[in-house]
Amino acid sequence: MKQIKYTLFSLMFLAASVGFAQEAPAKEERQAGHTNTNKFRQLYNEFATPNQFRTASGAPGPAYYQNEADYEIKIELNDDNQTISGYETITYKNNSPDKLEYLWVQLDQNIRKKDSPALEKDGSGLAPVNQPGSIVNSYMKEPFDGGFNILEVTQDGKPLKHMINFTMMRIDMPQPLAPGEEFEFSVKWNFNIVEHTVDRARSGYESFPDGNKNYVIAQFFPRMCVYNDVEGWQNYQFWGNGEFALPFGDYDVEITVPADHLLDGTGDLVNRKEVYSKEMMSRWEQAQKSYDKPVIIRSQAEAVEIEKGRSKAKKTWKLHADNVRDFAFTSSRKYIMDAQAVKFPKRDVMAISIYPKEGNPLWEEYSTKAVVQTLKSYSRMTFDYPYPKAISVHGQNQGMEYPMICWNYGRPDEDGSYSDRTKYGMISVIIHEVGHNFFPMIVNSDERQWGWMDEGINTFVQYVAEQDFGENFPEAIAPNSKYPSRRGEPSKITGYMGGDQNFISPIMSNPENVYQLGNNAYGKPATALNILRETVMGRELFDYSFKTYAQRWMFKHPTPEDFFRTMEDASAVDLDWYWRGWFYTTENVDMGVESVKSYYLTNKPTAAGKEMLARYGADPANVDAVYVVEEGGEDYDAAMKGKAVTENAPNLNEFMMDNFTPAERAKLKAPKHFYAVTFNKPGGIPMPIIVEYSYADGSKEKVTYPVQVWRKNDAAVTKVLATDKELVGVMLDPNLETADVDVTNNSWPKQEPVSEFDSFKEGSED
Amino acid sequence: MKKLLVLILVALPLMAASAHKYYFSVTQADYDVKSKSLKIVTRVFYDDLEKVFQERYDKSIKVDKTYDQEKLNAFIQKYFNSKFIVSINGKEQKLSYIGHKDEVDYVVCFVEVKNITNPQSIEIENTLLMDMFPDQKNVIHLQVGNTKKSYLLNKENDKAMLKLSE
Repeated sequence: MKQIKYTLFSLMFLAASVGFAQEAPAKEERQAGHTNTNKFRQLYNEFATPNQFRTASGAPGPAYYQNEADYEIKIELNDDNQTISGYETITYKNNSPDKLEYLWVQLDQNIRKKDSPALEKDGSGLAPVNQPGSIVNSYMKEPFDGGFNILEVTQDGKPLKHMINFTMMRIDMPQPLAPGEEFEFSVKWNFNIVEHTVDRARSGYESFPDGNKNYVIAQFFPRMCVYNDVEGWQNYQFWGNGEFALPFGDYDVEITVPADHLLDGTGDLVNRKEVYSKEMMSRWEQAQKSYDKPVIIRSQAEAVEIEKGRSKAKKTWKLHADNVRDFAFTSSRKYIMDAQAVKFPKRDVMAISIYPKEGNPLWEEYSTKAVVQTLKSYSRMTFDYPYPKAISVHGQNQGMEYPMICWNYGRPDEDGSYSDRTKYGMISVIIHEVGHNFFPMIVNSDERQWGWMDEGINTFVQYVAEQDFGENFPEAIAPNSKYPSRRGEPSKITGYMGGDQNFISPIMSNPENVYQLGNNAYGKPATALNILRETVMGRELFDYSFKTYAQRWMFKHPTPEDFFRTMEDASAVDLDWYWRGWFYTTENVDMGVESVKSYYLTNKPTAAGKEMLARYGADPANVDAVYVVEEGGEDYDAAMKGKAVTENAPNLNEFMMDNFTPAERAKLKAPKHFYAVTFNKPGGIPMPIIVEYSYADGSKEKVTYPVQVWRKNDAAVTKVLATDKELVGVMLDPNLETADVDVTNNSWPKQEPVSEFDSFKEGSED
Repeated sequence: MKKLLVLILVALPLMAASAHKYYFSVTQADYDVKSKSLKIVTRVFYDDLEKVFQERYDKSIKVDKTYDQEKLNAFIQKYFNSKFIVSINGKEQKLSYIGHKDEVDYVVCFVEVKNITNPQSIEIENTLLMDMFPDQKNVIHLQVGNTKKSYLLNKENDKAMLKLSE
């Protein structure tokens, strides 16, 4: 018994002496106290308290509600003077437990009013050299006469009191709207459509040299704001960067355009037979049964003929959409259209592309393919696409999403040639914009406040869909072996995250206030989710939790916390440290191998060992202990090297014989080498330590230490390796999974990686 | 002859957000003792460079693979020679242009200053794109041995200076 007690005691020393000796600091100065700053503390302070509306689990609670708005809209688009006039009736349903004294309506076009403060929201200077056009535009031309002209706001034909503050209109209710009640009111308005290729905008028209115009129309009608349990009325002004918060509802829309236009938009085209020719109708029916390739509904040859005309007649297109948060449409006589059917368990979905001849040959080749891939990949990750169709429209310099329809750039040169940048840019933007149907059109987050919740999450699923596209269409991406995704891979975000802190904001920021919005709201959150999926949680746990989130919140309004809570709740993986580091701070990942020390064990008391025993009042002569010796240090004897541990410390052998049966002893390992590998962490974000150990016999071993190793010491951590092979190399994060911003400290012995300059120069000298 | 007002637009993909345009370039400049040269890697937004080239040299220039690469390299070299001035120990140096490569948003330009034996001071005047964009900010990360220094340059303050003390 005594034997065991002492030898157990001695094995404790092995652990304790390899590492940092804990010594009480000499108290000279008084240390200030501190609050809990541990990086692994839960996000109790940052999250709202769970309540009846949203549970601690991240799901809608028993009292969860959302208000709705149904629209009946009739508009005419005037192709001669680029205006829209309209009349709408909005039915607003108050499903909240609150009495509403006023309603708020969004007037997005007002951001373009001549006196709009948004025109002055940024600073600028004067360049020494300018294009004549920009001088005229900025300082000489009359500003564009944009904004809604609100002609009438009525209820039952009687004028309704209202007040317009820039892009928001307040309807003052004659009586407060009680919980459960509906309020119906009408608005008559008109406005000038902006030329979006000149004055950047998410919608408008593009002019062609022959005078024809392509219209991509959205945000064209006064529409309801969201009223909810988190913001009250979300009536933060539209300044241009923060996008939209919109309630769900049903739409009945009638649009009158020139008779030779082709139009499509959100929802079902209910009078298709009236507005299509017999030929187009039969092609459409064919497309509905074509599951493997697109069918041309209106060809380039036909479009080229039609665009020469200027019909004076009009046609009215009627669309109906259920449970959508917005409405948009496109119209032009120049359009080509193709369509294909996609099969889902409960329904077929039509994938449609609409583009002028200027988009070819790229658009006919790739657009519908990309739409189909998006629907399939996103549905796999979340839920089956629940709408009847998804349209990709070609608009110059555009990239914008609306329910069931989106605008996308990607135009070849006039001679039909295009660069890789144009081609992959186009496929990527189509995937991205069609993907937005899922986030935020269906998982309807508040874009005005949290840009990343739709952009970042969407960009992450876009990456998954792009990689799927590359696998499914290898000819399309040749000679690349995988799709060259611009965002998503950890190594692509390190430049941003390791860059100047003055130009970085946390992901959890309002999109109006950040620099580098693309990196901040798209790239970094997408990469963070990708790393979570591939490295921190693994695909199985991540995909299950992500799908749970999507399905809990489809057709509802989630907040960031609902997402964060659900991901943990469904996986049993604590992620507060991850959300905190990646989403709430601007810290980055930088881990390194600080040192590798080699040790041997011996039964001969060492100086350090004797000192430690003395502290406990023990005499080395009376204690059966194993001592640790650093290679090359004091007490080291070169004769130790290469010997089995039981040769250097024979008392271990006696211990084993006394406490293990011969059968058990046969299974025990006999390490020859002990290494203490110290990892440090100059960067703020803790990550799992993924290491590849290389041994003298050529073998390699990959080990992952859980991120929890950092929980008690944020600066450095040591791990002990007991091995019978000599360690010759340590490589941290060999597959670049953690977005480490500096890999020069990732290897032992220290390796200078080949610089970007040298690898380029050597490459080009072939 | 009627002069056409050519409106060259910021071809920044919107991606569902009117991405607030910011004018930025990043240069990594490392002194290599073995090759005795200053190795410079500069990243510039390709659409900004294209705007400048179209205005400055030729309206038909495109900063991508569809344009004659030899001609493009010649323009980049010419532009660097006038806008990126490196002085070693007070003496202006000749730039050797190595080449460029295309990344999705950037053009990556590789330039070298050769025959630097004992650099006591390095000065870089970087006014790239400032001829067109008054808000242009050019970042330079300079490394000589263990000395690392970063500079944020703009129109008013366009020189980075590093003195290597004994």
